[in-house]
Amino acid sequence: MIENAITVHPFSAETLGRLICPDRLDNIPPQVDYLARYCARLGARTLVHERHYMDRHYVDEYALYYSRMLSPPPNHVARIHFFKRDFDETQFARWLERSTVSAADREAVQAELSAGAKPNDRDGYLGYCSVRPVTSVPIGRTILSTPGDDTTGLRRDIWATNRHDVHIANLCLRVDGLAFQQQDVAVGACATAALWSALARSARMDGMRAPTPAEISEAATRAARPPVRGLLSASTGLTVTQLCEATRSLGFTPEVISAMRRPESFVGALHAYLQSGIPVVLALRGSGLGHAVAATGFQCSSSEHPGLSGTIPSFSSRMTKLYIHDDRLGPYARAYIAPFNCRVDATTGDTIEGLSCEIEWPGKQAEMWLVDSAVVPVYPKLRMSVRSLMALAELTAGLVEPLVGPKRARELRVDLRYERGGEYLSRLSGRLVDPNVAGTFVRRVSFSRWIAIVRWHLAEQELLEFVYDTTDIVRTAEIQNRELLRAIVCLQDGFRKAIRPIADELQVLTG
Amino acid sequence: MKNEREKSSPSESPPSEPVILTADAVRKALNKAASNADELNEQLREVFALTDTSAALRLR
Repeated sequence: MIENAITVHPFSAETLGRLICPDRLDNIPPQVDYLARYCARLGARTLVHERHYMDRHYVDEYALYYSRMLSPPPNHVARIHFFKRDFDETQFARWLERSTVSAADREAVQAELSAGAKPNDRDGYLGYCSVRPVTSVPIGRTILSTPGDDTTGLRRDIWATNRHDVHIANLCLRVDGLAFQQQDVAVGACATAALWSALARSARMDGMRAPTPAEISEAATRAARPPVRGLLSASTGLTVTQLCEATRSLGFTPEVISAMRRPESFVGALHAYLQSGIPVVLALRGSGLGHAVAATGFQCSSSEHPGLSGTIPSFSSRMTKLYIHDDRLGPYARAYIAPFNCRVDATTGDTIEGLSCEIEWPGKQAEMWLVDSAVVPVYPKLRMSVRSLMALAELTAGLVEPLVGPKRARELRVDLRYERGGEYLSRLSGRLVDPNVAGTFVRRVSFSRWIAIVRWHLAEQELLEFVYDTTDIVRTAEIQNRELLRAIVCLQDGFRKAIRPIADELQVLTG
Repeated sequence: MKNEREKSSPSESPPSEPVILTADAVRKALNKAASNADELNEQLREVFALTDTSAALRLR
């Protein structure tokens, strides 16, 4: 008879290792070691182990590959849940008993289990890790909370995550995170895992079901299979072209950005997508090898890197650190990026420029890669690329600089992002400077499903936003600025009057 | 095209009133900025494209 068993354990690296890979305690995979360190950093105190869980991502791998083995593994995974608070079997049994009394009691138990360190915190549930019954590659779909801000006070911007409802017995708990899993080598490789993580966010953002690794591998190799041995050529790695094919056949448009020229534009695009909550698959090069990771967030330093400064001053030039899902390591691993510029020919003075990426390995030397390119799975009707958005930002700079005067123009900074139109309007509450105009504005303005925002800041404070329709590309900046601009939103009271003539000339609504 | 604008720390600049531009000044500013924007758009063409070397890179 199929039966689940839920048990409670105090958190420790040893217990986690014993629960995930009891048969190879002398050779713990690096991913398990990473998870133990990461969960300790999040403040994990207690583990709850579920013996039997049907995970559709593993079931697909099972159907495609494992079920055809002479001696197949089980078709289900186990799950390990991580909690910030201390509790034991007896307490957990009491909670489950109470949760069956009434809906109100169940909610009270859920609130107790989710309680954080401070009275109103609800971050006590840290997420879970699925354990495949495949000893060599045990880490299946894993969703863990993002790290909080660091001790130096620098903010971590990890935007590309989903909110997940997680069920344990009759309880429903919540966690915000991006799905991670170790590549299983049979069905997929690192590129499959990276694209799978990225699509888990992009698909759910647009109301679609996230594809499984097996679906990604099949989509990637549907067109042309290279002459390599294996059930799925994805198991031997995917090319960047195959990543694009998979993205397209799963209903998204792949935006490809090269990092081998103009690192400042590459980083500008990376910044724009990540703060729009759209994960970016990074293709890395090193020692003749290629590797792929999914970037899900970033951290900025307090100053700008001169090598990342573009045509207009942008917050992206402060980006120094990425948070990546690296299937060889774990979720939200730290990677430091830096532009380089070196002379390759002393006589001609020819130089090459690019971006390095140093992945931090716990207890080991950091690993150095060169960023080759990025593939971004984008909603198909979001046609305005970051390239177009950068051109429009350049155009708006010509308007904003005279507005603030030459002295203060030095304090201007821009950031670019995409957002769903409805969410943008909801987020305007409390930001618009004139409540009388604001009511009319939200009533009259009409947006595409996705909008693009060129946000200008003055002395680190939000100043104004140019809001664009994203359903066309930019061929001629001035013409399309007029056609695609939907609104100019003033975010500093003193500038309301000054923005009016610009809005009038461009015949656009202002809020 | 790297940033050619002069930089300074925010504390160096005194606060000043916003400049109210005339309709003509807005049109002139737009015209002037448009050529920069189109040039940038063209220059970025090679960055936002799949190169042959990237296309063939096998990620494993």
